[in-house]
Amino acid sequence: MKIKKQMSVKEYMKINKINPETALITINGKLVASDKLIKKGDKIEIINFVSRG
Amino acid sequence: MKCVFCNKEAVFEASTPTKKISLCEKHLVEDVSKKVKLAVKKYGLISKNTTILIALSGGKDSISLMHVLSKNFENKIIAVSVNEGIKGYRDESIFFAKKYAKEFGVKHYVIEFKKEYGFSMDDVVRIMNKFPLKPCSYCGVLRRQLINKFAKKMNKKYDDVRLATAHTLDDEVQSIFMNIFQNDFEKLMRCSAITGYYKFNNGIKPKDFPKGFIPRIKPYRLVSEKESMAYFLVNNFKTIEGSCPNISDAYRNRLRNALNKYVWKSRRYDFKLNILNWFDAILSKKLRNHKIKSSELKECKICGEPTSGEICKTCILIEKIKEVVKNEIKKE
Ligand SMILES: [Zn+2]
Ligand SMILES: [Zn+2]
Repeated sequence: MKIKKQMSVKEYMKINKINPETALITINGKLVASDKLIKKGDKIEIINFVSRG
Repeated sequence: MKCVFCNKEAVFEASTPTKKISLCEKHLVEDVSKKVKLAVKKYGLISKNTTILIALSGGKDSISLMHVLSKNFENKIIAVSVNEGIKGYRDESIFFAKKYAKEFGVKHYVIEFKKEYGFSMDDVVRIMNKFPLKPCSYCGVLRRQLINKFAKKMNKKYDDVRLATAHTLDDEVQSIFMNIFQNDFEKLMRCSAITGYYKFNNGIKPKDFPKGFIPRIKPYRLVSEKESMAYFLVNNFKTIEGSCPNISDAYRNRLRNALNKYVWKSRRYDFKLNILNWFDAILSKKLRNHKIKSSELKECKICGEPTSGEICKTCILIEKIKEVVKNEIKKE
């Protein structure tokens, strides 16, 4: 998923209603903390782990 | 955000009973390792000469647990995967199980339904469509018996074999709630750190286990599903995505979602650990008063597991399944 406006991971999760208890966010393949800023063109992945063994 | 230990860039916020702490990659790995070591010590899971037999599904939790154990313990470690014969799912996860066992220097065994029972889970699913029970209930029973049999075989070869499963804090808390809500006391007793047979729960030292009994241990019990996933990611491990195509545990899934939503909305990040500690306290009290009468127990004539009758309930069910499936395969 690509975003247009710069925002933090925390804001991104809030906007997309992602429960931090069930998902982690990676940016360009790297795990990041919630205050990390997402820049234009970053590749964001939502790792939803509750459905994985 | 900086790591609280080293000031490097944090990648994860771990929950502690009092607050959230931010951790860098290195300290996240250390934090998970610390929790496994704490569980081992707190519950007395492993002794000096214990051989750890890991039940390795090839999912994120069992791969991560195998990594933690192989990095932090001097014990002999072996791993076993069960190939139930579920096309497009199990073959792939066993590929990753093999790959990582080799990488971590763990001797790996694969046992197969088809070889041991004469039929695969795909056969069972095709045939059991005519029966009311869900495939998972058969699969679990069949798998557990094979692993038990295998563990006993290994116990003749190696010292003090204990079967380590990768149940996380989340799995355990879900099970506690499920069994309370269903008023299933026997199953509730299995939600402890050492199990295998409900009468031999924590409170009873492994040295007092009956001869040949293989304890099941849960070294991952203080690690949350989220921490397990983060550990998996920062180590750059890979495995298949998605879950078993037969999975039908709607009840567990609903409960899991409800619990996670509660933690999220209430910000009670210590909720799961509190439930676990509360349960352990109740359980150990209950078990302190629970004496085993050795006369109560016999060995099952088929599998050798402790049972109150001649043949254990598991073996009775398995014999039934075998009969039905074999007859149906013949007809086809
Ligand atoms: Zn650090
Ligand atoms: Zn039996």
